[in-house]
Amino acid sequence: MRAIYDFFESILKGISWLAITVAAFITLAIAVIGTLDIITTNVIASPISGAFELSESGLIILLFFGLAVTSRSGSHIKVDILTSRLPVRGQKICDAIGYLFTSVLFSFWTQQMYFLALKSFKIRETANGLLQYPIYIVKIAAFLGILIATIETLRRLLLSIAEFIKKNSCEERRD
Amino acid sequence: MDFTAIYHGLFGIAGVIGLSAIGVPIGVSLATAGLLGLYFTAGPAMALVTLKTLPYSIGSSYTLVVIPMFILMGLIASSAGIMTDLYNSLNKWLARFRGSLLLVTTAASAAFGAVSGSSIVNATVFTKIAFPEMVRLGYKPGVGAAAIASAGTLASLIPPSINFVIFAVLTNQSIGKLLMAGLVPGILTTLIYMFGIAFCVKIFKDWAPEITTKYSWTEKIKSLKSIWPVVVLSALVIGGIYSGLTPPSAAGGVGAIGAIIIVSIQGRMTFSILWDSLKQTVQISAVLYVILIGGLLFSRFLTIGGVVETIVEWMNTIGMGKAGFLVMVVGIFLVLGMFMDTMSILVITTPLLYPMVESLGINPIWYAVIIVKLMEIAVVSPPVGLNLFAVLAATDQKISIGDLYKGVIPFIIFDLITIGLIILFPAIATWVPENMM
Repeated sequence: MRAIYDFFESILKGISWLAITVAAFITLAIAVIGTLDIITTNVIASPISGAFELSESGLIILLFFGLAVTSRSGSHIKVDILTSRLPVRGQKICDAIGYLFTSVLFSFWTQQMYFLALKSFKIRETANGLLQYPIYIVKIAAFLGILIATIETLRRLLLSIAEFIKKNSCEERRD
Repeated sequence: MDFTAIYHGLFGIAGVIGLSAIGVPIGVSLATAGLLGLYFTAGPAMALVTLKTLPYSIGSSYTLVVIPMFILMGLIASSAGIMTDLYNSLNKWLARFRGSLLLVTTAASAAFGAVSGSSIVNATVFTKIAFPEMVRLGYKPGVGAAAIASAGTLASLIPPSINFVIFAVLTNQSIGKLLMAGLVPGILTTLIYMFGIAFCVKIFKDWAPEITTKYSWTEKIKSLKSIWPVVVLSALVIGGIYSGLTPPSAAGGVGAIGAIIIVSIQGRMTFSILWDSLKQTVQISAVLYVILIGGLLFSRFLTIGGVVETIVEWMNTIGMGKAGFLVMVVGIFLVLGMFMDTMSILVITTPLLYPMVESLGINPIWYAVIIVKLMEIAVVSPPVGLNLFAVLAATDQKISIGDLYKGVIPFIIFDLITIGLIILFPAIATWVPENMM
């Protein structure tokens, strides 16, 4: 069982690394495109074709891939004024509830992004603008980002439940 | 009056507060309450269609590009030591005044606010730069830490400010005008802090030691050489937006590339600084995106479910005027600020309060400046004030939490004076955006 988990964990770790690498390059690319667009617009009165659309598409990949990474690290903002005062067991239960709600929300979101990406793929949707590149690739990427985020959140939910059960059974054995 | 809508609204708000209180991420709490609200008021199809279309359309909106770009600019500038240079230079100019390190921290934090939109980043970095020196020279630790935490908040008012961008996205206001609106109130806050500190060190002698070091004019002028990166970056961003040469979304990109080039020219750019800044930018942006999406889903529920309409109708029935509304807003923000982070407060309250702002004919830019200023107080308000904890987390020195709470009280009073002035003289907030090119 442990070996299977470790195998999946290493795959997820690799995917997460890939997601942050792609998102980081896209962040840099958005900054470069935006700057070049401003320079060409103000200096030679000729904006870069498709700079606007490429930035928008880049942003969606940045955010959804970023979501995958933040879900792995569990760095979503929480209000912990009450939970931080609870005993460890209470905190673990709250963590699990948090992951449960996040998993359910992300699962619905993944399903809806799947429908959006599928519809776009079926009609081979392209960007509306001067540069008509395939926008369905961006929607598929966004779907993959939220899918990974959901899997990561489920992994954290299972881990927190397993940890809770393990702690409880240890305490029972001690008693 | 439609009591059903009121009940739905109350359940929604109670749901958000309840879920957040048990540790569900704030964005998830808002989204869950919003989707359930839509499910019960407009039907399941509406809830699912909104979940399908809204996050994608917001995430691919050009106006939002500005957020990761401003975050990247601030991260690169802060990790490459630009702040330390700025601090050292200002220290030479202000060393002749008692309490100089408190004054320097305030002025440097304001100047750095022009290249960084995050108050926590400012508070953390200045804790590392200034606090050990304050303790070594005999400054009162609680006051020193409070000054750093309070000065850090200037970043969320002085452009570029992430809070203004989020407000613009939530309310469909002009990002450029909102960003520029924070400039004069930011400078005013800085001056009030500095005068307040100068006044307090004269009365409370234990705040700061006697003056020991003075610098010659040659040293002072020489030190100015090291502040050019901040001057150039703020000119690129603020000047670009104000002159109309760069739209706000592109100004972020120009600022980020500007920061990379400047740090490279200084010979401080390393692969790890660039890579870490890019990775952090991606993660911070994604965290903010979830909160923003949650807020917009909740806002959609409040609008479609008729909650907002009913509240506005109720407000008109009881004859609540601008003054009553502003008193209510100040109360809400001061209370929420004790328990929540600024972004969450902004996203939770804007969908409810903004329609009332429109209904009462309040200038949205003026209102935005007031609430951002109130959020500045929130991040230094005990018991939760995030900046206070950012300072505590960033220092190795021991600071008593009680001393820190006591130390921050004068700064909250200075902030209340500033808010009073902005309320009495709205032009402080509206003059610059109204006269933009």
